[in-house]
Amino acid sequence: MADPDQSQRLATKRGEVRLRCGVAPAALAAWRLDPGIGVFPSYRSLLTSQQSLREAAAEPEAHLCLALAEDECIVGFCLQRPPRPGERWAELRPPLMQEVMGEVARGWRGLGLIEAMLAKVVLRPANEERILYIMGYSWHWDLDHSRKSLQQYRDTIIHLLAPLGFRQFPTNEPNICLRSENLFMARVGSQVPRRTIKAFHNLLFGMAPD
Amino acid sequence: MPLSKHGYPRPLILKDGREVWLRPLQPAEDEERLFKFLASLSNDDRWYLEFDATDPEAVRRELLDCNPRCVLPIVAVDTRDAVLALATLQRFHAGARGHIGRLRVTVAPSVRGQRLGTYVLLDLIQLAVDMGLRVLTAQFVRGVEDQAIRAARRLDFFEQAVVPDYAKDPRGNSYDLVIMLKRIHRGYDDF
Repeated sequence: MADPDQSQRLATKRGEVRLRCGVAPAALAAWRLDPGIGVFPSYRSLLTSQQSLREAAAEPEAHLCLALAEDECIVGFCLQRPPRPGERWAELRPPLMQEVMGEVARGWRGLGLIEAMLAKVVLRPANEERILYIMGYSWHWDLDHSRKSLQQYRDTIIHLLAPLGFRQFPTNEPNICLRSENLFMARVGSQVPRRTIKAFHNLLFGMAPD
Repeated sequence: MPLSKHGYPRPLILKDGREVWLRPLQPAEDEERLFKFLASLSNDDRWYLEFDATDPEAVRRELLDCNPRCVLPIVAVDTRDAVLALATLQRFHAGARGHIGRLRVTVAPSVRGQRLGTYVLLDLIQLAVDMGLRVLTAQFVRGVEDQAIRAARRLDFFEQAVVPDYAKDPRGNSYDLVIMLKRIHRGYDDF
């Protein structure tokens, strides 16, 4: 179960929402997934089912934070995890890079849930020794429901993450380069050694560390 | 748009592993570095620029004293702050052309073939996205700037028009001007 210290209650226009961080896979069975997270005609959530959330939470070093409405319905999640094997970011040595992703269910957006979850996940002291990153692929963005253009959606992500210390980095990573509106942002922790930052810069352009 | 949103200074790593930083040109601090960079260009390179790079007044007018709302000069500098490339994103007033940006990139001879031009172009495209521009244009002299044309094509620029016999080389030979365009998506495309 989640450490009670990592719980927080948020008052929203739709009622109280509880954030639970460091959620263990087994704990997920107690909650149901809001139907605003899943597969829609022109949009697919990052993680679409309880099963995929459970698998993500079970990965080594993964850190899952959930937003729970009425204490039993998952209306949002934020996940930090190591890069997938084979991804460029997995090559950094020491392996300090971790991906951050998150989503709030349709119907629960605009209530400040993602900001609160991101802050709880990202601002943990251990992350000062890591490089966190997000891969902003525009084809994952829920434009239909948000009624935002690609640029507005992209701006929203930047405005969410910049206050947490993320900034845009240029990269020739092929998936990011597929569309000009795609976004790569990273947060370099204050304790990351300079040589690792240099290796990260190299990695942005597919170069081996010096 | 505050340039801080774009994340300058931005690191680049060239093909040979050299570290380069992209940042806006600082008129006061960079003046000497900029002149040194322009002096490093060959006579041929300077010939095809749109201003007289040997005339300090022209350089000041074009780059150092320009209105940043109209022209944003970006430089790529090495770790000792020497300028290795110069790029400009030219914008228009908020009228019929307010959504258009015009790009220009010049790379020092010593770093050509290191992907710097491509990376700088990529950065300007992302800067244009951050600024909410919708159409980007770039003009190249065919037969002289073919490498730049290929780089632009790889970044989804397409040839919108060719103006025959538009530019001349120092010997008076004529070259076509290629006008390339890139449209920035506003939403998902159906296909």
